[in-house]
Amino acid sequence: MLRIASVSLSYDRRKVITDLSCQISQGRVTAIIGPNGCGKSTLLKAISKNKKVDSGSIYLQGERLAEMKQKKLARLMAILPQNPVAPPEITVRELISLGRYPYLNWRNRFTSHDLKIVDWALEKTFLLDLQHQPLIQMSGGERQRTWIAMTLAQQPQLLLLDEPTTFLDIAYQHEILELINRLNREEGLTIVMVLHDLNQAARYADEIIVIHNGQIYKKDIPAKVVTPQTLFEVFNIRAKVLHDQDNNCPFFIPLTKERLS
Amino acid sequence: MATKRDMQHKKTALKITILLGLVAFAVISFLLSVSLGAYQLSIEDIVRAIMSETEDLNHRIFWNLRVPRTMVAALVGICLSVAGAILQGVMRNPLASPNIIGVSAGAGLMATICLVLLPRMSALLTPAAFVGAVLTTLLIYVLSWKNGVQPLRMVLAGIAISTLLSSFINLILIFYPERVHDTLGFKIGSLMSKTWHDFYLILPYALVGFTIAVITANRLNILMLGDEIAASLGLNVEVTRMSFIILASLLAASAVSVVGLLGFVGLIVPHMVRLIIGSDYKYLFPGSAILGAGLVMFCDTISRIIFAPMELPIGIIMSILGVPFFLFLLKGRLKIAKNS
Repeated sequence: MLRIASVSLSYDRRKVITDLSCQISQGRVTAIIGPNGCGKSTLLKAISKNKKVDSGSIYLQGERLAEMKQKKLARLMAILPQNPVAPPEITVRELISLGRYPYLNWRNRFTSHDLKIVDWALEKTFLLDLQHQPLIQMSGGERQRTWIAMTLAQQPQLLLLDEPTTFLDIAYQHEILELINRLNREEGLTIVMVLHDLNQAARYADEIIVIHNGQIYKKDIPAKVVTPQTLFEVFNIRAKVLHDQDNNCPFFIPLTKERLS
Repeated sequence: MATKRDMQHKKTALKITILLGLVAFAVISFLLSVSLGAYQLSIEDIVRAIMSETEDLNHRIFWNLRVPRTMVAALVGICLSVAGAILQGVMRNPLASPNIIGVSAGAGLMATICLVLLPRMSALLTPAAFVGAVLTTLLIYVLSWKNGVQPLRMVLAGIAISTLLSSFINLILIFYPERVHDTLGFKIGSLMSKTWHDFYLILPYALVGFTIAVITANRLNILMLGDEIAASLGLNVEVTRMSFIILASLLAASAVSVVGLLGFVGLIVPHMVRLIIGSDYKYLFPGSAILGAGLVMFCDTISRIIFAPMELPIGIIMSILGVPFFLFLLKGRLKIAKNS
């Protein structure tokens, strides 16, 4: 689905990613994690074409991203940035309808098919009852669901999310990640998301990519990635890794740092 | 399912009703403006002036003074309001409007230079003002950019640039007072003695500008979602933003080249429309145009009758209305826009 071929990226003239290559396969949930400033968000920006690569190429379904038409790309891939903005008066439905933009002709006429897709996106995100609410009056979790619904209206095959839970209360964080997982299962949507909570990544992702020193430190299933060794080498914490039987995923609990005690 | 559709239809119907209400206000303002003034025309006089061919005093006042002036007022209102609506969207900033961010001053400076250097070439006036407006907008845009356009930076940069450009205008006016008649009117915005000539001078710009704005309204809706999402929805962000800046400059410049530095229309009108009709530019543009036309005609009428037979420049009335509104925005609305 997505192939990154020896990509180098810089941020504020500082090299953050050097010669990184990897493949992301269709229909899976991939979480990108790493310490702050490791370039994980920059990498996501490059994948979404919001950042120029210094060298290397990114391919989406075999086609080079740089040569793809913007509207065609918009029908294949959607992105939800970390802190999206919208006019305060806009309603849920209005915002989601904007997700149909890549499919409209120059007259911007909505067909009954477009309306149906918007209804579907509302339904998938449990927003049917709230569709005429102004965005400003909604809770953080509902707002984030609205944004996800907007990306759904784009009918993408690949959805990129940049820390989708960062500004949310803990209950909403869980709700959003559940929603993302369900969309992956029910609609076959391929998900690539940057997360900063390693336990959340272990719980919800099929595969985790750990970025460290501008390179991929590890790319594997959660059980192989979340290990005391990774936690120490990449995040500089000593931790105990346990296994959750119910969800069949690892989770970690930090231990007291030796030099503090 | 049916109720959802009904709700959707109801919302659209409500918006159209509001637009019709604005049209009614504009029509009333038009009628007031053509009948009231130092010399009053009754409805009977007006009907007679429209019907008859005889060139009596009423007929001449109506056709040669009142109607052209009112029509110029309407066009200026449309241009400034739509320009303000565009700038607020492009800069994602509720305080953006032609006079606050210095676009009007830029247009005014170039217009003044044009009047002084080429007094006979009135057709060049609007293009010159346009160049001034575009350059100023770009300058403000660059100055207020720091990971996106910062509202406060933009207002401060706008005030600084505006002040500087206005001093240049004053400098020119001091050296060549005879070249620009009604200097005061130009500086604060005035519709005094506007004629059919002025009307035809800006009609094409207003018409073209407004039409393009309405056709491309949805792109501005997309741009409002931020650069990343707009790009991810397939919009060419840089090209779209530049085109809208040029469009807003064109509209603002055409207004400035005829009435001078009339402020606050572009700030107040799009906001009032946003409050009552929402932020969808497909409705916001027509709404702003209609309310803008109505408001300028209305305020111009007030400026003529409040101290009749003496006339005030409309800019004074506009500022008295506009400054409190600006302060209100600074206090309340700016915060909301940031949080969302």
